[in-house]
Amino acid sequence: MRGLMYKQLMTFRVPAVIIIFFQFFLTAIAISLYVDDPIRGDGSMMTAAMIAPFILFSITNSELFRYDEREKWCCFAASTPQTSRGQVQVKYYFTLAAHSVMLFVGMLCDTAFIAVVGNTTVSGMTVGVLFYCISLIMNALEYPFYFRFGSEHGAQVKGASIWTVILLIMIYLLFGDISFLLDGNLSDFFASLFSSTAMRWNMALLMPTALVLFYLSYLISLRMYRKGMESYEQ
Amino acid sequence: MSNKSLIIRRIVIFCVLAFLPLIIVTPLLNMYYGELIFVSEKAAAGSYVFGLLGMMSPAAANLLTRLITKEGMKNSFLALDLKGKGRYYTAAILTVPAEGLLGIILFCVFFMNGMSLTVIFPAEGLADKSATLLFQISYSVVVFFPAFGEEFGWRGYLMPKLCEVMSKPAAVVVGGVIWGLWHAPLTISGHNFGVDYPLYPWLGILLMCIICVAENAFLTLLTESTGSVFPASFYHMVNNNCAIPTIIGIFGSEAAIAVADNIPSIQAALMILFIPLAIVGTVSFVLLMRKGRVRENSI
Repeated sequence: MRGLMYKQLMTFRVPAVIIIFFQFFLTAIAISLYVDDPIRGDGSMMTAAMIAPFILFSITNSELFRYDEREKWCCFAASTPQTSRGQVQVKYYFTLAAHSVMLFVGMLCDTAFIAVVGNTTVSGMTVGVLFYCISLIMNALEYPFYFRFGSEHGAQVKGASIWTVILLIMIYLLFGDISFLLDGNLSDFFASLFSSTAMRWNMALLMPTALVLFYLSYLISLRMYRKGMESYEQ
Repeated sequence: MSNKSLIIRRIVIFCVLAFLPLIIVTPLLNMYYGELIFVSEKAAAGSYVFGLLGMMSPAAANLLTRLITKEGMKNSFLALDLKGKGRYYTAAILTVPAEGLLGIILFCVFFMNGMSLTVIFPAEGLADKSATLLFQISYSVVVFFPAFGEEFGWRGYLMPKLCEVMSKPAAVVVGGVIWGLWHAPLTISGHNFGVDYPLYPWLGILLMCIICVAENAFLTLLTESTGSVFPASFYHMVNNNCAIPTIIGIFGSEAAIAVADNIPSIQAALMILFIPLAIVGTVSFVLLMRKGRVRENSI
């Protein structure tokens, strides 16, 4: 497994460096904004610095699969001691490890920001943890598609799913009840939303849900991988 | 070189590499800030980052020792196999809240006598508070890497080596004491117990060693039973983020929080923290011994 993890790290090193660099870059902007104007330079840029790595990872995660989509490689991989199970496992382990690294780097950046600002209320860590969970759920939904249809077609299926969700939201915005958006301040609405008991429970249950979905996704991917490898190019 | 002396050499190299960063950097930071970093308000962020990075030094020592002594990466305890071991992973995460519950009972008995339980822990907003606790446990993932850093070093390298050169009970005690002494530069700088207690810093260092011996028994049991440092890392990360004062802070009334804030750290550690840990440590110690006996009999 160590060898597979190393291979995964080597094939993903460029996106990994870009993601971490971008996180540092946004933190530097957040700090410089604050130094320039403490009122305008609130925590919003730091929040962006916490969210951005997870979004970038979701955009680039097909790179994890791109080099493995050859039927010959899959047959060879299945003959190794790790078998095809190891091929699937490594994607999930690597994703978990990458998420933990992004969160850890985010925490160091956030601490540096707080040290400069001197105000703990602007911390973006809660948002970071929430996006850690959301990103895990997104990846859990995507990976079986990648294994079944390959990264290219899998990304198309993912894109189609996202567009369907956006379409449904737009239909709701056109014909549904959106008085909560029009009455009063939007930030007050979000503040009351996050302080409600139901929302607190949603946030608290997000991590267990993400981990359970991630594990279920792994089990589904194991089945999908065997079907998928038959459709890969030679 | 005989096998035993090679193992001892590896243990010594590992300990030197794990101890050096804290021994060197802590006094430098104290000098830079002009006061002890863990009691200084202006050094709060710096000491936090230093504490987190310092926790990675045992992991670095593990890798460097393997490199220096040409050991390779055999027996690195990095497997993540849940099959048949789920109960250990569950125990790793649920032991901290269980210790917290016992700690809360002790807090009520020792410090809140005369007050009814409903006054100390009001029932109103219980759903909100429970959600906050659950989120706090989830939030622990933030400190996963530092926790893993320590476990990969102490349980993933030092303990297996100690078990090869001495009996398991002795290894648990010696490993715990080494782990406790590793904290000494931090304890001297006011970490965990502050500086305002009798026999400072010796009592703090001694107490840290005792706490580490108890925790070492549980964490060694987890690592041995699963062949992986990950359950121990999960326990460590939840423990660092969700300790008893945090639980009192979430569920306690204002009066209870005020009392908790005024208890000297050393007294709180002795009367609230240590008893649950001692119970967990003793049970783990017995289970470890029993496991060892079963293995010997089967051979």
